[in-house]
Amino acid sequence: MSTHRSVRTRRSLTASIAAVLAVGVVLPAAANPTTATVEVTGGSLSISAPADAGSLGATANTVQGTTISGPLGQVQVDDARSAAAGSGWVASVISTAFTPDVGPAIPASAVGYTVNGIVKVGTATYTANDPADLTGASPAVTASAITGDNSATWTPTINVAVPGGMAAGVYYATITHSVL
Amino acid sequence: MAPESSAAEGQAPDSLGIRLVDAPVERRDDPRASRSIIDHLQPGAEIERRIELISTMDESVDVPLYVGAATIEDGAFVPAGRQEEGNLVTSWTSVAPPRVAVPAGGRATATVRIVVPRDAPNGEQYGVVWAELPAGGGAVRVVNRVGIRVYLSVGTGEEPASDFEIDSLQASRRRSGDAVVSARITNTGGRALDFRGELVLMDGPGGTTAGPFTAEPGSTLGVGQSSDISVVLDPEIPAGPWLARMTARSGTLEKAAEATIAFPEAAGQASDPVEATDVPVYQDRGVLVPLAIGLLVLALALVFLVWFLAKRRRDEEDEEEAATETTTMGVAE
Repeated sequence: MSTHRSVRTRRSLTASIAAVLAVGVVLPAAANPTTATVEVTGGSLSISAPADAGSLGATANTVQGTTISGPLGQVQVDDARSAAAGSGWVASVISTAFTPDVGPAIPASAVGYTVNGIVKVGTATYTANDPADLTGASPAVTASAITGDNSATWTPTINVAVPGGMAAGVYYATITHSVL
Repeated sequence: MAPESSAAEGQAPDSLGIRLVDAPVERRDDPRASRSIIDHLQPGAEIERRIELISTMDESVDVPLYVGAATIEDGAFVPAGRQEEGNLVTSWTSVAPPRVAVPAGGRATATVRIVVPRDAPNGEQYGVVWAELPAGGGAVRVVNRVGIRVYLSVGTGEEPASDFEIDSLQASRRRSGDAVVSARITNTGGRALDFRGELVLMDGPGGTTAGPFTAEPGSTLGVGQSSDISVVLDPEIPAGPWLARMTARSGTLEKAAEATIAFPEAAGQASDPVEATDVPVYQDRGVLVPLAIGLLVLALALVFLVWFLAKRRRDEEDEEEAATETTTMGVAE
């Protein structure tokens, strides 16, 4: 009679262990590599269309050089992505050289950018940098600690250090705002 | 066609917005993955991710879409200029169509395709998918563009684990009088991280507590890179000493560390950095812990149920056997 009972005990124990293992094995198989996607909801990261900056002004040629400054037109960046609190974006700025039709160019290293204060809407922290050298992309406005929709608006100034002895004429350049 | 105001919520008038439409299922809890294309791919793999352009402009706008290179340096994700050379990401990634007309006040969709060659080197590469507005201005042209970051990790095995260390905390005072706590963070994992930070000051003068305060701005660190994230505090904050706890987060990865610090009295001074001790982060672990507990309870219940049923059957059989034996004994007699 005791042998009979121990066989039954062993069988029930085996059955219960098997049941536990079955549950444990099923779950990990559900994971799947990168090809499966889910649709993201929420708004966009946006930048305003550039205003007509036109001319920065004119200056007379001088021996020692001078600095020309002029407004670049308003820039507005909005972040309506449904991001977790604390996310951010960076607006970088870069310039080409200032090139005339005839004569040497003024390098981008002589071009500086001043943010001039940020008008903000929403909960976020905005940090302004005034990069003095626009050869490579430099952060101009950095947003962080964003909670909910927010926008930053600024009207920057471009400063060009014109060396002495430059040729007369119009100097052309392209300044790019990159927001990401 | 009437402007789709719901598509352009939170967007300024006369602007172009971009957003990512597809994110990997396995990263659905990672807020970084809903803003940037973050993937780990095997050599030879291909993925497609849709993006959407949203316009609040009065006229239809022709938007070129293209891929640019990027690097991570000095704590920031730095895009290459429009004329600069590409990198591996730009050679593996394309956008279709390369130019899209976004209707006035409307939207348009494009598809980003990444094809990783079979001989691609292991490691993480960075890039940006750009949408560019037509240039404005006269002699000084202004180009505004908005983009989606690409953090692409390539390797034959599993995705490299992400990890970081908060090495030390340093208290200082700016010339303006603002008190600053900086945390030195090192990316010790295998993928770039975008950090946000939060500071709490405890055990202050008179048992006071201050915070939480947010670090501004955050910091992006490539593999093996170190940088500081700083929290700027009001000049009126008492000098201390304080037990400072800095919590740093990137996506779903979170760590905290503590150190005892004191702010210098004089402006323009910095105290020595103090080594930070890791502390556990108390947070709701979401689904994982309740799920594990639930499974454990279920397993125990299962074992108990099977044992109970078996025991009951055994008891019944014992009764039957006892009854049979009695009968047998009766017959033998």
